[in-house]
Amino acid sequence: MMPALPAGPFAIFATPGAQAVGIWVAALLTLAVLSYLLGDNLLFRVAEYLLVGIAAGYAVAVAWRNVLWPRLLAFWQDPMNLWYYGLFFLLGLMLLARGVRRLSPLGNVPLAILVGTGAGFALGGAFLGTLLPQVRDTIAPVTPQHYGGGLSGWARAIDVILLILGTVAALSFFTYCREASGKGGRLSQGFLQFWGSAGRKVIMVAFGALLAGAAVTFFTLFQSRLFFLIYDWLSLLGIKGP
Amino acid sequence: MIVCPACGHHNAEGRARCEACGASLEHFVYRVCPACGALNAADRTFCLRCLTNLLQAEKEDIAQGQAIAGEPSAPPPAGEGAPLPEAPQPPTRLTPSPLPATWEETLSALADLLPAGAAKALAGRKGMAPPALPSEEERAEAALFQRVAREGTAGRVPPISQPPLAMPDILVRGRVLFALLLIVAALVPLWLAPWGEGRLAPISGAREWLEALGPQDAVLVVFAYSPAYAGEMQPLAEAFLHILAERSIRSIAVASQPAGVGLAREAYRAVEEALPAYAYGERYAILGYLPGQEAGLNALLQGVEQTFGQDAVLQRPTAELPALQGLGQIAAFRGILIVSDEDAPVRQWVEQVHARTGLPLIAGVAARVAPLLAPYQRAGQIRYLVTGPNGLIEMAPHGADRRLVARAHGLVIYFAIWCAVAVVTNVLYWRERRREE
Repeated sequence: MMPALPAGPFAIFATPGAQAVGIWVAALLTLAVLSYLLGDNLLFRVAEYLLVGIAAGYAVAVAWRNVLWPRLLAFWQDPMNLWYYGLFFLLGLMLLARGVRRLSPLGNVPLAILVGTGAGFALGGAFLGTLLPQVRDTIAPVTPQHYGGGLSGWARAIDVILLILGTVAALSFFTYCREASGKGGRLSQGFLQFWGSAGRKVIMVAFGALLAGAAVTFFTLFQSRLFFLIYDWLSLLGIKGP
Repeated sequence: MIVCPACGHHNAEGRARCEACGASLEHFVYRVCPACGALNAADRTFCLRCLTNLLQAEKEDIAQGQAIAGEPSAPPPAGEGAPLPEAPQPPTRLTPSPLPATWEETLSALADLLPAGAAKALAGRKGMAPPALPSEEERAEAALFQRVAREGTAGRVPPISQPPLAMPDILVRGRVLFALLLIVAALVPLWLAPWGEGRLAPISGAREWLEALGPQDAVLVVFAYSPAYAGEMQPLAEAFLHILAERSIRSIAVASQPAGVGLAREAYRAVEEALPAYAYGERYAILGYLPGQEAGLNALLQGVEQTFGQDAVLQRPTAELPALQGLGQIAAFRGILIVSDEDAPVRQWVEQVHARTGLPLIAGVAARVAPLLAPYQRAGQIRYLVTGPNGLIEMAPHGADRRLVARAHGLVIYFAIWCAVAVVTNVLYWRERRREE
């Protein structure tokens, strides 16, 4: 069995009474946030700032307890073998120097390491993990026989054709070049303009899908808050939900 | 309410231009907090920085200014229009000053704003033509502006008559109506029990894939969502864990953001209450927060025990936990199960881990990011993409759970309302356009 979240002197927070207080606080804060429907007000502001403050505080606590402290302890116990932890802590301290104007150049070294390694990993990963596989996936056969024939084969083939046309059209929309001259130039420009306008519509459809997805997410969150109020909070008051 | 300095028309908060005469209301866009000096948007009642009540402070400020000027609620001179019943508060603090009469006077007024001596240098510069002085019309407008700001009155100049606009009223009332409809959409399915029976059609094979695993297998579970999205993601995470616990499949959890550790504990606690045999340390473990994004993932690829020296709950060395036996390397896991409210963490796992290890990746994501990850599923990089209320029902241990099914059906009602509102507002807009033409 997983031990209760708070231990030692904080074990009081795991008692049923404390749980009820927690539900009350959560319910009141939920109502405070929903009060924004009536306009900007103090309760909403307090709830908003509490969320930001507590999230930041919790993140710091977890980073210290889970990441920094165990490594600091390990370095303290065995500095010869774990010397690199000491180096990392030193770099971390140097990063803090960014906050002091006179010492801020010290922070350039860890910052350069952070940005350099981050960009290196991200670029390599994006190339191998996104660009190549996605391009490879776009290059697909369009014959129904390749997908087994029949109705499903045709459906898959049409799907692939639409994917290819949509990709070409969306990429054509982002073509910026100077006005072409000559017959060939005008022809290619007209081709790009045609596909670009089609690509714009493809992009609009993609944005529409994203908006619909966002609507689903925010409605689900709203619904979960209402269910919390009905099932968890009102049950404390003796009112049973449906 | 913003009173137009040019025509006195009452505009809704946040408008950049007057609805009646089109004059700029830019000077009214911000409210300056009298307590801390912070700039707040015009529609804010409380200061962003110090929570001072801006309306109250402005009221007091204006009253104080009027007391000093010795002309509290002075009636307007005869012939300039009837006095208004109550003076509205201008949303900004303005300090009226007499208009400059000459070019030199204008420059001297800017002396505080320009660098030292710049005003004099500009005035004495050869070949610099002085700008035209304000015209009589501009001076009259500015005088009216200052009087409105000083006296806090409006409506001295009758607003330009305009045909009444139907849309704003509809939109204002529509906001409240839409909120009520949302509540109906969310809650009505709870009372429709017969409608909620049965399972929806399967949307993915993720459940079958997980159910095919056995107690000897292990899955890496990644918690990559924030508490703000726990309403959508937590039930999905619990559903995944429930499937693993039912088959006693080992699961090792990591969090890609600090709050994920607490969310992982809550999710496992809920599963443990239903299935007590699924014990911490024996069948599952929470390793903790993995910082560093791509760099952190690369560290994890070097070895699980090297990255996490101890677990996040018992603070025991990971090598001593039975749940982690034989799982020193990522490749020892049968698959990765990531629950995320953003597309970036999933993409990082695809790019950094899946691309190098080929491990199957199951992603349970928020509906809002699902379209962004669909290409990865299509390319086979994400084996299963579970999303939305339907995905939750598919994964849930009790298919006909009333609350879960209510979620999906609430969504149907929600979209029906969306469609109805879209149709009605477009028809009204079209009628309005026709009338104008």
